[in-house]
Amino acid sequence: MAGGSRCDNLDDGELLRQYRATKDKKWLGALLERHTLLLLGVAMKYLKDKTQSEDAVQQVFLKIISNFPDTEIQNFKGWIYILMRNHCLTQLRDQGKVILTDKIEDIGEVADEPVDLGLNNYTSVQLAHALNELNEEQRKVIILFYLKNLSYEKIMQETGSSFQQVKSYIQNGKRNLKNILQKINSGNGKNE
Amino acid sequence: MEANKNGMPKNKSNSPDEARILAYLNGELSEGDRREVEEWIATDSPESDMLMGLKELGAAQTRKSNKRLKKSLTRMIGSGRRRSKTVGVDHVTIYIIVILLALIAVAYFVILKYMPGR
Repeated sequence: MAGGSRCDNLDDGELLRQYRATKDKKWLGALLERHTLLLLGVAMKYLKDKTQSEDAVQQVFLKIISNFPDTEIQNFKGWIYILMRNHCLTQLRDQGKVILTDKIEDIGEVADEPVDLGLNNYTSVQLAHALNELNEEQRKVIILFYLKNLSYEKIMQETGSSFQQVKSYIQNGKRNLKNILQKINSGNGKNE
Repeated sequence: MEANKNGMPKNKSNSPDEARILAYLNGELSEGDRREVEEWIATDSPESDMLMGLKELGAAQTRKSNKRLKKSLTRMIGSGRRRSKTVGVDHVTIYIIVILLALIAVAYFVILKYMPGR
C-alpha cells in the first residue's frame, strides 16, 4: 500500500488525521490494511463461510472508501469492528438465518482486555474455596488454563470440549472466579 | 516500534498484531506469546471475535484470504486515487481526441479525392 513503512510508525489516530487533512486515500488504505485480519476474522466468526466472509470484507472496504463519515471517530478499531459485525448481522438477518431480539444499531461497543486475576494474592485455601464454587466444567478448564498453563489445544484434548466451549468456560469461569475472590476479599476486610 | 521476545512488533495497545496472530494460527509462538494471544480469546473484545473466526478459517486459508483482500484493497484505493488525478489532465485527453478526429477527417477527404472510380 502506498505510504509503506511511513504508515507503520503512525497509530490509527494519526493516520485518520492525515486522511482528514489531505483527503488522500492512501492514508485510509493504510488504516484498512492494518485491520484487514480483524475484519476477516469477525466476518468469519459470524458468517462461517470463507467466500461470504471475503465478500463481506470487500463490501465494508467499499462502504468506507466511498462514504467515509465526517463525524469524529475516537477509536477506529472499535468503530470498524462494529461496522463489520453489523454488516454481518444484517446479512444474516436478510438471509433469515438469525432472529435478533435487539436492534442492530443498539449493540454497544465492547472493549474488554485480558485481566490479571491476581491469583498469587490469595492463599491456596481461599483459591480452593473459590474454585469449588465454580461448576465442574469451568473449574476443570480454569485449573488447566490458569494453574497448569495449558494451551487451548491441550485443554480441548484433555476435556474433549470444542474450542468455543473452552473459550466460554475460561471466559465465564474467570468472571465468576473474580467475583468470588472479591467477595472473599471484602469478607476478610470486614473481619479485620 | 516495541518488539516482543520473538522480535515481532507489538502495537501500542498490546493487542496481538498481524504477525503474532498468523504465527499463533501456525502454532509458531513461544509459550509466553501463545498464552498472551489465548488470554485475548477469553475476553469480550474485537480481538476475541477475530481470533475465533480466524481459528475456524485455519492458518493457510487466513494467509490466502488476507493476501487476496489486501490486493483488492490496493486496487480499490488505487482506482480512487487515479480517478481523482485524471480530473487535472482532462484537457490533454480532449486535445488528443480532437487531433485524432482531425486526422481521420483529413484521411477521409484524401481517400475520397484520390479514390479511383469517383
